[in-house]
Amino acid sequence: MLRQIKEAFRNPKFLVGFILFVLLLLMAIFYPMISMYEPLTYYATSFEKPGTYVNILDIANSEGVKLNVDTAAGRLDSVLTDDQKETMKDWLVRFGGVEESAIDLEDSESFLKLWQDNYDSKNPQKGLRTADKKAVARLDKQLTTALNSDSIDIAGKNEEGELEVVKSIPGDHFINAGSVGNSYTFPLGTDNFGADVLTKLTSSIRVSLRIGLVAGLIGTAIGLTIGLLAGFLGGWVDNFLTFVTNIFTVIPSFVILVLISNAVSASARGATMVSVIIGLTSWPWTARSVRSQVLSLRGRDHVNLSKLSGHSMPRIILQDILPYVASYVVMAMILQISSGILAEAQLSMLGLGPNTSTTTTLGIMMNWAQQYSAMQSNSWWAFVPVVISITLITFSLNLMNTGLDQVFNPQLRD
Amino acid sequence: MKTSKKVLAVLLALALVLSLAACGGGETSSPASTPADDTSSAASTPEESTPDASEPEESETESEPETDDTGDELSTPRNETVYLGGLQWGKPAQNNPFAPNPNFTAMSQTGIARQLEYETLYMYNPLDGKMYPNLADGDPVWAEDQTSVTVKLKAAAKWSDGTDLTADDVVATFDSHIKAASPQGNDYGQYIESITADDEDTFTINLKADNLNPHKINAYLTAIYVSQKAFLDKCWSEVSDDGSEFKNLTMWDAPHTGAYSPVLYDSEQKWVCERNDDYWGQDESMWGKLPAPKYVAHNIFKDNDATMRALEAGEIDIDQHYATDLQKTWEEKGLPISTWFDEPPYQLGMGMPSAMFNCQKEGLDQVAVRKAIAYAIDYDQVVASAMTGQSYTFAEMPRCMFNPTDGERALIKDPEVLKPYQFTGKDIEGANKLLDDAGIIDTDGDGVREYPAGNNLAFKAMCPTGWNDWNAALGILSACGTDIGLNLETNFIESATYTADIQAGNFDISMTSYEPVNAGNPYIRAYSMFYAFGGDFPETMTFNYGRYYNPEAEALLDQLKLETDVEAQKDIYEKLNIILLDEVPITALMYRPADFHQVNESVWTNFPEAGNEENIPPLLCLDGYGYAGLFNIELVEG
Repeated sequence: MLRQIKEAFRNPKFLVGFILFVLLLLMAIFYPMISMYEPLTYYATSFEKPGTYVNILDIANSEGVKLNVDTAAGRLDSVLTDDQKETMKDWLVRFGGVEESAIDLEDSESFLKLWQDNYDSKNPQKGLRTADKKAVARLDKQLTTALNSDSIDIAGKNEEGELEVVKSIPGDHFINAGSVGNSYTFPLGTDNFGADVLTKLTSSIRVSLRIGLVAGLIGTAIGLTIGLLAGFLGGWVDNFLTFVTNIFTVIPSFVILVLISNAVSASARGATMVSVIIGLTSWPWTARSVRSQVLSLRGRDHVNLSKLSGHSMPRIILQDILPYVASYVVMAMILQISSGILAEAQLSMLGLGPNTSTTTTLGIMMNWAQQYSAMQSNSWWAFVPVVISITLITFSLNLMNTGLDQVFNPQLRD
Repeated sequence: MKTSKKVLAVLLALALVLSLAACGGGETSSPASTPADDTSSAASTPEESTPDASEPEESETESEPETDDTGDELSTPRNETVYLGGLQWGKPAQNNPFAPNPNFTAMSQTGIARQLEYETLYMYNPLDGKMYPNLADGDPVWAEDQTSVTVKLKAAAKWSDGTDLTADDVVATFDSHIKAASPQGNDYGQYIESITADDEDTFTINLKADNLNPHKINAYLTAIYVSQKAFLDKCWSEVSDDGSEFKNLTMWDAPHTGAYSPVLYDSEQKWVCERNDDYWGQDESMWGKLPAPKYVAHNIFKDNDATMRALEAGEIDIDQHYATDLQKTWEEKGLPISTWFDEPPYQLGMGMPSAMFNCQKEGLDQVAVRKAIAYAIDYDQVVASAMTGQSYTFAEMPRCMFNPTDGERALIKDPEVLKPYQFTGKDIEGANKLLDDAGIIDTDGDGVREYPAGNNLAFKAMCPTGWNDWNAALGILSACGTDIGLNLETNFIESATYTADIQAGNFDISMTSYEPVNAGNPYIRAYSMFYAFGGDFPETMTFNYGRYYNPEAEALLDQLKLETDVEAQKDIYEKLNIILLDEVPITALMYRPADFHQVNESVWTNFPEAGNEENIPPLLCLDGYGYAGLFNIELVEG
C-alpha cells in the first residue's frame, strides 16, 4: 500500500495535480480566515473593478506633497480623446456658429477656448439625438472639471450653517496612496451585490469541494455496492441490478438531476441536499465498471480457494475482491468528485442549485453574474475567476486520475 | 495492417467532420425556410379574414396587397418601422380583448392600456394623474350622488371598417365582458350595474348602489377597450352564446378604432402592425395627424440577454425590460441609448415592489416583528444593487402609499406629519430595541430569538425564481436577519405556483406590487393594502394577500371612496399613511417604473424625456397617454 502511494507520488502528472489541488484546498480553507472581508457582506453596491479604494474625504483632509509634474495635461488627456475632439468640432460647426476653417484640432488650447466660448447646453440643437445632446453635455462637464486644475476650495458649514471655505487644495499636490486612513483593496473587485469576489470565491470553492466530495462518496458507495453484488453474486441478482443500472445509464443523468432538483422544493434545497441528489444520480458508470472487474475476478483461483475454505461471502468480497478493484474505485471517485463540482455549477446556473442565503457556491456566483449581465457590462472579474477556479479544480483532479491510471493500469505502465 | 487501420481511422474522422458540417449547413438554411412557411400562413390569414369582415371598406382592400408584400419578405422598411422589445416572449395567441391571456402585446388592458390597436375612452397620464380623452369627448360628467356618470363620444371616432363608433358599442362591450365572465367583467361587474346608451354618442354608466366605488369607474374608463357591437353580435352567434368559447376566439379580424392593424401575428419570430392611413385620430378633434411610423413591430427574442444585445445593436427602438447597469451603454460604450433621466434613478418609478408580511402567521401577526424587519432592511443596498440604481432611494422619495409621481404625491397633506414614521432602513439598533421591548428575546443563546414556546423565529421570504431584481432584493432582505436575531431565508419558487400561493396566503413574507399605475389610484392601491372584508377573509384573496385587518383603516376606506373634496381626501390619506407606516403590513423595497423605458436613437429620435413640454409619460410611446409620444418621434436626419 505504502509502496503504491510512493509510486503514485513519483508520477509527475499525479504530483502536479495533487499539488494544484492542495493549493486550492489550502486557499479555500485559509483565505476566508485571513481575509478582512466576509463572503456574504456587501461592501459596495454593484460590480466594482479590482483595485484599491481610498476614501475621498480622507484625501481631502490630508496634507499633500507638491510634485513638480504637469497635472493639467494628464487630466485633459483622459477626457479629450481624438474621437471626443471630432464630436466637439462637429458640434461647433453645426450649432456653435463656428467656421470649420477656424478650428485647429492640433492646438488644444485655442480649441478648448473656442469650445468654452461657444458651447451652450441650452442651445436647442435641432436635429441632434437626445442621447447625443446628453453625451455632449457630459463631455462639457468633464472638460470643465479637468480644466479647473489650479485649485479647488473645499467648503464646510460653519456654526450658522453657512458655507465657509475650510481648505484650498492646489492642483499639483499629491498624497501617498498607502497613507490614507480608509482604504480598501478588492483584489478581484466586487460582485453585483458588492461583496468581495476573492473572499466569496474562496469560500465558494470550499463549499463546492464539499458538495463534490459528498456527491463523489455517495455515488461511489452506491456504485461500488451494486457493482460488487451484481458481479459476485451473478444470476438473477446480477440481471436485476444490471437492468436497473442500464436504465440509469440510458437516461442522461443530468436530466434526472434537473427533474429531482426541481421536484425538491426550493427552500429544502441546501448544499447537503444538492450533493446528495448529485450523488444519487452519478453512480451507474462506477457500478458497471466494478461489476465487469468483479466478474473477471470471480473465477480466479484465490477466490475459488476462499470459497472452498468455506469463507463467508462478505469476507470473500472484502478480502479477496475489493483490494483488486480498490485502485480503480479510488480513480473513479476522483472523477466523481470533479463531475460533482461541475454538476453543482450547472444546476446553479439553471437556478436549481442550493437555495441558501448563508453559503455560496461557484455555480451560484456564476448565476448571479449572469443575472446581472456581468458579461455585457464587461465586469469580467465577476465570472472569469470563477470559471478558472472550476477549470483548475477539475483539471487537477483529472490530472491526479491520469497519474494514478499510469501507476495502476498494467497496460499503461512504462 | 496497422497503417490501413490508421488510414481507415482518418477517413472515418473526415467523414464525421464532413457530415457534421453538412448538418451545420442544414441548420443555417432552415431559418430561411421557416420564414417562408410563416409568410404563407401570415399572408393567408388576413385573406381569410376579409370575407368575414361584415363591411369590407376601401381601406381594407387597399391595404391587402401591401399585406402580401410585407408577407413575402417578412420585413418592413427600417425607416418606416418602430421596433419594440421586451414585451412579447412567445407566439401571439389571440387578438381577443375578452380573453384572460391573449399573449399579443400590441394590446394590453391595464390601467395604462396600450392604444396601438384597440383604444380606450380615456388615456391615463400618471405624471399629472389626469385622464386625457381618447374616444371620449370631454371629461366624464358625474351625477351629484355619484351613482352614475355620463360620457360623450367623439363625433369623429370611427372603426377600422369605416363605420361610426356609437354608444351602443360601449354598451355591447360591457355586456360582453359580463356575459363572457372575462377577468375584466368579473372585476368591474362588482361595481357597475349597467351601461346604457342615452343617444348615438352618449352613454351612462350606472354604479351598483350597494358597492359604490367611483374610483373603479375611472379605472374602467382608462383600462377597457371598446369593441364593435356588430362584430361582437356576430361572434356571440358563432359560439352560440357560450362564454368560454367566446373567450377562446382569436378575433384577428376584429374591427378596432386604433391606428394600427395586426398584419403579421402567426409567427414565432415577430409580430407586425401596420398603420391604417384612414385612422380617425388624424381629425383635428384628436391628434390632428397620423402617428409617425408606418409599421410597429416586435421581434420575439428568447430572453433578456438577447433583447439587450438587440437594443445595443440598434435593432430595437423602444425597449421594455430591466437592463442591469443600463447607464454603462452610454457612459462606457457610447451608444445612442437613453432613458427618462440621464442621472440616477434613470427611470421614473411608478410601482413599489414590496415585501408583504402574512399577518395571520405566528410571529408576523405582531407589529413589533414586522416593524423590526422593515426597520432593519438595507433599502439603499436594494436600490443600488438589486435595481442597479434605477430607483429613487427612500431618502429621496420618503415612503408612503403614494408612488413617486407628482400626481399622487400632491395628495400628501403635510410631509412633516409623516416624517417621524418614515423609516429609511438599516436601523439595526431600532429593530433590536423593538423586539426586546416586545419581549421577543433569544433565551438559548443560539443567536435567534424565540417564541414563548421555545421555537426559533424563522421566516421564508418568497418570490418567483429568475426575477433577478426581486431575487436580489429578497437576498438583501434575508441578510439583515442575523443582525436582528431572526432566521430569514429566501425561497424562490416557480412563477406558476407563486400566484396561487400568495392568493391562498401560503407564505411568510412575499414580494408583490400593488397597482402600479391606475386611474383609480391611489385609492385602489390603498384598497389593495387595507380592505379586509371586515376581518372575514375569503379563502382566495386577489389583493391584501397578507390578510391584514384593521377596522379603522377599513372605515377610512369607506369614507374615502365617495369623498370628492381634495382636502378631505388628503386628511384621510394621511391617516392611512400613518397606519401603513406604523403597523407595516407591507413595506416597499424599491420604486420600479411601470414600463422600463429605454430607447435607442439609431433610427428614430425625439422620444419623450424628463421635462418634455407636453408632459408625455415614459410609457413606451404605447401605453395610456404615453401613446402621444408615437406622434412626435421623427427619423434621425443624415
